[in-house]
Amino acid sequence: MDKPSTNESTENESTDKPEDKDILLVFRHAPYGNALAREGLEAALACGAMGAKTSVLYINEGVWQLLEPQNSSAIDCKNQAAMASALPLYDVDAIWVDEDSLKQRNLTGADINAGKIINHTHVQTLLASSKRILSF
Amino acid sequence: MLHTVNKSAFDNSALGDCLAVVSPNDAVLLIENGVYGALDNSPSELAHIKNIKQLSASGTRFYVLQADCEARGLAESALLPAVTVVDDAGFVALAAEASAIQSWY
Repeated sequence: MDKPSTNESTENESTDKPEDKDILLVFRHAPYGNALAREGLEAALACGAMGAKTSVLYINEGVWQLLEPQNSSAIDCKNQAAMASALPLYDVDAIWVDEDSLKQRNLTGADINAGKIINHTHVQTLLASSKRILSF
Repeated sequence: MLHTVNKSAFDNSALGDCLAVVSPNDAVLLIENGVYGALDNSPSELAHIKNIKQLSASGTRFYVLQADCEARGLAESALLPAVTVVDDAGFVALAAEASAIQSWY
């Protein structure tokens, strides 16, 4: 209310420039069974389309999203893997996968369809260095 | 009787809780995210894998729903040998033959 007008214009300017913003989306749930995985991917694609510098991290149950082939028509659901394959087209190229979550599920790099596998320390660094995080 | 489990063994205790009380005459059907519990990962020998193997040896029957495996990219070859894949008609047959059904969720 009493703010100087210069401050207001600075705020407006920053919100008008999504490319200045970087955002991390954390995918922690299996691809089907609830809507979280789908909503997370939709949010990631939207962030990418808006020009935000978008990264995604697959961790815990989220690593199941990376298994293929997913024949989701069998359960009348939209194919999550097909949707995830659109991430690079929306300039979401930073796709990270937690190594420990894969190991706990006896999965390896050969089982997953995308992403760069990073260790526990890298995950900590990624989370610690992200100012904006959305969790799904 | 028939037990159904619809939660992943990796982030929920439903499968473990079920396996703790099933009988040799029972059938256990893994559905939805429950199908992840049927993955064969012998190197790490998780508790639920050991339990399924032991119970199977003593007569308990284990099933997974085909549609839920296919949707999640789980190949039949990746599943425990003790587990039988059934389709929706098989689910109905299991439910029909069962004296009672217990859902673990």
